[in-house]
Amino acid sequence: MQRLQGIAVSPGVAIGEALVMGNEGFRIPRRFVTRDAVETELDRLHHALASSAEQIERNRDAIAHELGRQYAAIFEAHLTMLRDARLVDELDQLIRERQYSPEYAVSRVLRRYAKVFQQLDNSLMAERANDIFDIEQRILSNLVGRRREEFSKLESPVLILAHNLTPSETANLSREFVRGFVTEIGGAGSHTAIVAEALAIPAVVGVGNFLADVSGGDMVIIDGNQGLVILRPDEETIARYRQEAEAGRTRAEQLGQLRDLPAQTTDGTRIDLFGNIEFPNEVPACLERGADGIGLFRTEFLYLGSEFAPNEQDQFEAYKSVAEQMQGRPVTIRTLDSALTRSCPVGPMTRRIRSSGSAAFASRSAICRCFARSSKRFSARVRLASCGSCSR
Amino acid sequence: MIAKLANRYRSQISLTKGSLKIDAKSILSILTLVAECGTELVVEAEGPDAHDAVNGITELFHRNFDEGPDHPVPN
Repeated sequence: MQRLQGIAVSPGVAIGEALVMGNEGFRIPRRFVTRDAVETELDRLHHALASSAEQIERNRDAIAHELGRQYAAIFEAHLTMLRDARLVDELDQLIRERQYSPEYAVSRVLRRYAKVFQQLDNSLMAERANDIFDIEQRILSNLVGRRREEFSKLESPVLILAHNLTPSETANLSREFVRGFVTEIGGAGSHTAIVAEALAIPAVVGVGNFLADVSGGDMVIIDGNQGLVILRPDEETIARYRQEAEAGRTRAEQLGQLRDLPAQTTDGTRIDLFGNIEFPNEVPACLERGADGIGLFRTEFLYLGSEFAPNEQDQFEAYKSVAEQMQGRPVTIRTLDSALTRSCPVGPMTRRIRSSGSAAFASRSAICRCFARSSKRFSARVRLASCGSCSR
Repeated sequence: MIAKLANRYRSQISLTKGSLKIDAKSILSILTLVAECGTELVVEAEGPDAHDAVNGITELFHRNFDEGPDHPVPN
């Protein structure tokens, strides 16, 4: 069991299997395999090891040819590690006896070696840890192969552990299966934090380096109330957090009973309660809680959530969906917040947003017409906010 | 280098540093041993070619891993 302290950005408690997002962004699908599958899984492991060795040999030969033999030595070392009979034995044993999936076994064993190297008081040896990670990533990519999956294609509940999540990655999280997330870096004001809160899943950011200590499939607890992350918790801790999660649910249910009561002061003044959203699929949550309308629909997340800038039709569909779902209740839509371009990470993303932003503003009058149309068609009271030069 | 040579023998070969004993055929295990220059190691082997194995490995140490004559030979 290991406790990590980070910054709590979205409350709640989540208990579940870890999905570790490595540099290459693939996930480790299963922790255990069935007894019947053991032989097939061992075959899969050995194939992946053989392919990895071939790739390393090719790299070695290419580098040796281009730069000289001494530069290829590192690949030679990788090859020797990959072919380490003890390593292969260890992996076989974990799959055969403990029915670990090859992915989990590889990650577990190699990260254990990496950890030993990282702890050594010797910078040269600490460097070896990176070699181990490199080998791990290579075997994993061969194991997962073309089945490399994306956030949006998850099939079972997971807690996401990553160095960093870009706003678009966070926005694309499968709402059904992602139960919480933890990042090594990031702060309270990041878009990631805003999205986590919008998705109503517990999140802790700024934990510091810890990904080397955890393997995909490990049991993890995210305590979004305290900003705590617990790796491989013991039974007692799990029981305590299960209770806490249960208490949280009970409280939410109790509060839920109040949702149909009118929001008014004791002297009878009625107050409208509106919900702020980032995505159309947050509307049901607002309605469930008895929102009288949408106070602010932050449309920049439509841009962050997709690879390409949404065109007029995409935007129309998104706005229409919100207006329809709100069934005549007022909706305020804010056009792309240009301040966003400043808070975005530098790089291609920024450029994309800038250009898509200007595209959006260029078609502003078209968007306004969309609003007008949608308000007529669904008799929704749709209002356009912060659209300075286009106040029709 | 040690592991590469060790794997040429059929015997089981181990290296011991203090109370830590590892498989000399496993490069990962050798790395975890962190034997820096000047560390005293015990080489043991068990099997049909045990004698050759021990001689071969100690020989490698005495040749300073073939890293050239400029380096001092460790004891």
